[in-house]
Amino acid sequence: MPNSSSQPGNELVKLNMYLHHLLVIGLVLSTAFLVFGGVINLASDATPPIKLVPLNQLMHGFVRMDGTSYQTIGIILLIATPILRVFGSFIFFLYQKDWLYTLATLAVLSIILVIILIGKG
Amino acid sequence: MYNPVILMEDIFIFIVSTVVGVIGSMLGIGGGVLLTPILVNIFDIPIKTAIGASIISVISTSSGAGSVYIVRGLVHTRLAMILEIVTTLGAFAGGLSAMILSPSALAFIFGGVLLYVVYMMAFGKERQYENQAASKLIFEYDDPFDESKHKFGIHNLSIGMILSFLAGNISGLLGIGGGIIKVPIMNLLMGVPMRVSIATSNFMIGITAAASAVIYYKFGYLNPGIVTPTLLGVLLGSQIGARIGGRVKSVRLKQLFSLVLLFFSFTMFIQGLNH
Repeated sequence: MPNSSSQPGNELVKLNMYLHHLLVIGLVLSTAFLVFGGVINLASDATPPIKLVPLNQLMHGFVRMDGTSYQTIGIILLIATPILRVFGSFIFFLYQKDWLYTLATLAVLSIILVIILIGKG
Repeated sequence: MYNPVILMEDIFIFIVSTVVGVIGSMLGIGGGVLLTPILVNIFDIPIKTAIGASIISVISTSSGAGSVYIVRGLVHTRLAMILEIVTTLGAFAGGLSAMILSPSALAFIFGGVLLYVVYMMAFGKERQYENQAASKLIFEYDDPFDESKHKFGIHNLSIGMILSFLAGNISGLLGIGGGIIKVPIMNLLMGVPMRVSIATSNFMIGITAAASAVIYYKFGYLNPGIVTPTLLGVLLGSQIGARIGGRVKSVRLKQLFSLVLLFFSFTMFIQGLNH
């Protein structure tokens, strides 16, 4: 049973740096999309949107430079960031052969996957 | 061109959100607790939309501060993952409930939770566990300020998990659940030192909020006109707050904050009765 307190220090530091960059990039990207989309909306004559664009219309909106679609992409990127962070930990535990926490992380990811798949699209 | 009135409102929301971000990051509390009542009571935004916006700002706070905590090695990832299994389930249940419950019921529950927050701010104390007999989930870290090495284990894991489910529920339901719920569970109940509690809770709230946000997205309660100024404001505010952090006496700030929350708790109760 792996001792949960001992980590090859190097691996953990590398993981933390990777996750750090993931978080920063995620934030920067999503903010950029949000601002960009917001500016497009401000400059247009359209009535202000009250809902985000549903997934199935997103690609279309992206191509058509629809401001709300860009804002939606920004929000989705933001929501994805913590999830990707969990996924990063999952890979780490898998690589460390720390099975208990590989499973725990997988459980969390599965619950989130269910939430994403269930109900309206 | 946009209606100038709406633009002005967006700018006001941005400014207010920035203030919330500053206060929040200085106290380790923020996001929904202060943001949602302000959006509902001052800007007259429907409560479910306000909660949706605050959930998004919680994610940004988590990622923003998290990028610092993770590098300092203060996040107890293993504990977080164990607790998040039940917390995310709770968020799932809470988020769905929020879709079903009436706005006035939500307002009422929100008022009650605010009272709890005020109580915790007034009477909650950091706990030190002397005896590190617990062997579960041992975590080693360095204090970032004096570089002293620390090691501790977790107590009361099962109760912690039950409470975490509740925390997740409230998170998904009301769009809050950062410092005020998860930190006491870890620090007071499970024996996690304050710094690690804050860092780990910060990690957890991002995951929980992401799960809830998916539900709010699907049901159409994420309003880009509200989310954008809110998110940008809180992001800016938390950057400012993190930098001016030590200069303001946090006791005074806590007192002021508690009064404000108390006030909002009553306004939320009134909202609940009015609908």
